[in-house]
Amino acid sequence: MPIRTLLTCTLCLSFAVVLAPAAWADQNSAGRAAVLAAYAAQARKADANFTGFSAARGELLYSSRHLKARRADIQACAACHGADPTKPGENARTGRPIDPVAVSANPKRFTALENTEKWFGRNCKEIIGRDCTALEKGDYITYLQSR
Amino acid sequence: MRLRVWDLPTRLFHWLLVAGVATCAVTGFLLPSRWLAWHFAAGYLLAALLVFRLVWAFFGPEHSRWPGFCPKPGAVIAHVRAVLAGRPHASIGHNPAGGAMILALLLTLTLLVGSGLLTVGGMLKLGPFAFFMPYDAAMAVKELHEAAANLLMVLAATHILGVIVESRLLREWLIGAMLTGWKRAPDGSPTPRPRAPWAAPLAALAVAATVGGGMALSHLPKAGWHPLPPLPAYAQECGTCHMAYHPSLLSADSWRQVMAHLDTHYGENAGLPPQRRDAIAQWLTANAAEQWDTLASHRLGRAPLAADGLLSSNSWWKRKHRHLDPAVFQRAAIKTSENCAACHRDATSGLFTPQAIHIPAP
Ligand code: HEC
Ligand code: HEC
Ligand code: HEC
Repeated sequence: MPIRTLLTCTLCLSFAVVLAPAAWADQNSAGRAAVLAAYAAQARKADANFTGFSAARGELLYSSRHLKARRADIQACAACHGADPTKPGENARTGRPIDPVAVSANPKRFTALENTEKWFGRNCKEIIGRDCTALEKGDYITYLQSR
Repeated sequence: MRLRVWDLPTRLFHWLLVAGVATCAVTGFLLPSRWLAWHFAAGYLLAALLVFRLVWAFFGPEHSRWPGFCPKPGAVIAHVRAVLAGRPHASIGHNPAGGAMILALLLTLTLLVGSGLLTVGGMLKLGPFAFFMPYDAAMAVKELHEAAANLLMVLAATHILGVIVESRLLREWLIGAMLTGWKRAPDGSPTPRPRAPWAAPLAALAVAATVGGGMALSHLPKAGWHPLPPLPAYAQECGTCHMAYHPSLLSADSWRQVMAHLDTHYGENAGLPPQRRDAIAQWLTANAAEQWDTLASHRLGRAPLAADGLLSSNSWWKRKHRHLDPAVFQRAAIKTSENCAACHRDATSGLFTPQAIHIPAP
C-alpha cells in the first residue's frame, strides 16, 4: 500500500520535526525538576512541615539588600544578576557579562546540580554571609522559573 | 635655462618619504604606544619606498642614479669648503655634499626599517620576521633602532639646513625644485638622460614582490607564540567571574600559588573539586609564561607575582599604563584595570599588540 506508507512516513517525519526541540526543552526541564527535587528532599529533611517552594520568597531573596554581605558595594543577588533577571547581568566587581538567570530567557539555568550548588555555595556566603538553606535555594529557582 | 632634473616618481618618493619619516618620528618619539599601529604602517611604507629607490638608483633618470649620491670624498670636502667660504658651485643634480647626505640618509633609513621589522617581529610577534626573531635579540636590536632613529633626526636636520644654506647662497629655492622638478642650469647644458623605459614596471614589480613576500612571511607560524591548546574546563571555571587570563601572564610557580588558595581567591570563593582544580592547574603550569617568548610573558609572566597577586601591581604594567587617567579604568565598559580584554582585543591570545588596543568610550 504505497499511499499508506507515504502517509505513515509523513506523519513520523512531522512528529520528529515537532518533537525534537520539545525533547531538547524537555531535557532542560527534566534536569531542573531533578535539581528542585533534590532541594525539596533536603528541605523536607530539615523541616517535616515543608509544603513547597515559593516564588514570592525567592523574589525577596533575589532582590533584597543583605546587610551581612561581605562587600558594602555588592549586597544583592540582583547586583550581578540584574534587577530584571530576564536581561543579561554583569559581575559588579569585574564587569564580566553574565547570561540571564530567568529560565524563560535562558532555559539551561539550574539544570546541573553540581554547577548550581557550586554557585549557591559561593554567592550565598558572599551576599547573605552564610550558606543558603535548601528552602532558600528552591525558592530562588522557583522564582526564576516563573520569570 | 631651466632643466627638468627630478622626474615625477623621484619627487613623489621624496615627499612620501618625508611623510613616512615624520609619521614614524611623531609616533615613535612623542606619542604613547597605542599609536604604534601608525608607526608600523608608516614603516611598511618606508620599506616599499626604499625598494623603489634602489631600482631608481640603477634605472631612474640621470640625476637619480647612484653616481649622483656616491661622490668622491675629495669632492665633498671641496664643496663644504666652498660653502663655508660662501661661494658654492651650482650642480645640476645633487651637489657632492648633498649626494653624500642622500647616501647617509638612505643607508640609515634602511638600517632603521630593517631593525624596526626585526624588533617588532621578536617583541610583538608581528610582521615578516616574527617567524624567527626571539624576544631577547629583538630587545638588543631595539637599541640599535633607537640609535639609528636619533642619527636619522640629526641627518635630516643637517639635510634641511644644508638645503636652506645652499638655496640662499645660490639664490635658487631648492625645495621648489623638488616640488616642480625644474632647476636652473648653465645655458647649453645637455638635457639629463631620462629613466630607462623598463624602470617603472621594474620598480612596480620589485615593490609588489617585496610586499607579497613580506605578507607571505608574516603568515608563517610565529617563533615563541602558538595557539593555546584548548581546555574547556578553564573557560568554564576561570572565565565566568572575569576574562580567562592567558596562561602566559603568570609563571608556573605563580599559577601554583593561585591554584593552591582558590577558596580565598582575591577575596572570592573560587573553590573547585580537587580533580577539576588539578586538571586546570596542570594545564596552566604546562602553558605558563616560561613556555612563551612574547612581550607579556617576559614583562609580566616571568616577573614575580605582586604581593596582592594583581597584574596591575607589576611595575612594568604601571609604567606602560601611566598615560591612562585612573578614571578611565572605572568606565562602565571596563570596570577594573584587571579587565584587560576590555581594552586589549587580543588579550585572550596573549599577544597584546598595539593595533588591538581600543579604549571603550565612557
Ligand atoms: C559578584 C557577582 C554575583 C553576585 C552578587 C551573585 N552572583 Fe550568582 N553568579 C555569578 C556568576 C559569575 C555566576 C556564573 C556565571 C553563569 O552562570 O552565567 C553565577 C551563577 C549563579 C548560579 C548558577 C546558576 C545555574 O545555572 O546553575 C546560582 C544558583 C547563583 N548564581 C545564585 C546566586 C544567588 C542566590 C545570589 C545572591 C545571594 C547570587 N547568585 C549573587 C555572580 C554573582
Ligand atoms: C567567584 C569568582 C571568581 C572565579 C570563579 C575565579 N576568579 Fe580569578 N579573580 C576573581 C576576582 C574578583 C579577582 C580580582 C580581580 C579584580 O580585582 O578586578 C580575580 C583575579 C584573578 C587573577 C589576577 C588577575 C589580575 O589581573 O591581576 C588571576 C590570575 C585569576 N583570578 C585566576 C583565576 C583562575 C585560574 C580561576 C579558575 C581556577 C579563577 N581566577 C576563578 C574572581 C574569580
Ligand atoms: C583602560 C584600558 C586598558 C586596560 C584595562 C588594560 N590595558 Fe594594557 N594597555 C592599554 C594601553 C592604552 C596601552 C598602551 C600604552 C599607551 O598607549 O599609553 C597598554 C599597553 C599594554 C601592554 C604593552 C603593549 C605594547 O605593545 O607595548 C601590555 C603587555 C598590556 N597593556 C597588558 C595589559 C594587561 C595584562 C592588562 C590586564 C591586567 C591590561 N593591559 C589592561 C590599555 C589598557
